[in-house]
Amino acid sequence: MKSGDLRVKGTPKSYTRIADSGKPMTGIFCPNCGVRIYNIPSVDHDVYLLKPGTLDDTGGLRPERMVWTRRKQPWLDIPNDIEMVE
Amino acid sequence: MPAPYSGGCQCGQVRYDLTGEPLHLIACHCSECQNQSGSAFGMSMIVKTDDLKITGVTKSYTRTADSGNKNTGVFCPDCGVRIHNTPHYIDGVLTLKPGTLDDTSWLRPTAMLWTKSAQGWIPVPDGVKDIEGQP
Repeated sequence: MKSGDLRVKGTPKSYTRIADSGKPMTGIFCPNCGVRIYNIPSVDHDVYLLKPGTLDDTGGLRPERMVWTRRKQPWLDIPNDIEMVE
Repeated sequence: MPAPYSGGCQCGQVRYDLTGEPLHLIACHCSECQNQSGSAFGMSMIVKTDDLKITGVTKSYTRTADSGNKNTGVFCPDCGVRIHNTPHYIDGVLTLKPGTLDDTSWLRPTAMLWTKSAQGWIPVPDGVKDIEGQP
């Protein structure tokens, strides 16, 4: 999502880690319950990666792609119309 | 793969060892598990309280479920990752968040709970019990 489209209230805390790619990724979370709201990738400052399970209504969500499937837990079946990227 | 199992939070400040075998493993699609995980569902591994040895500093957050039962979430204050929940209504067990284990390849849930509030794109695998609400 575009970073300009997200308006956050409250006082989130942040945590930055270096991904395997060598690029930093910053997680923004609630300091009271720990729930991650979004991540900020360093590669593109105009987008945020919102954690969509935090939406009040998650009923319409359907991912178009599943990535890192080689690390996936093997019991989970993926529908045929979702692209898998190893 | 026999115990012990090791795991921890994303930043590594909190680490743990699970010294006994888990009692149950379930995947839960309730709205609270979606909210807590930020994802499509949460996973809970029921373990004996005495089997979980945690090192590092944790913070906790207690909420009251719709049922009136209280549940305390324990998480890393530095990166926010939830390590386990402590149900107040059952003695002697914790629900570990198994995605925090160092090796998650052996996990096999036996049931999917609250499938009536599931996002709908995840099939219930063969051999996994489909439970619409609270068991």
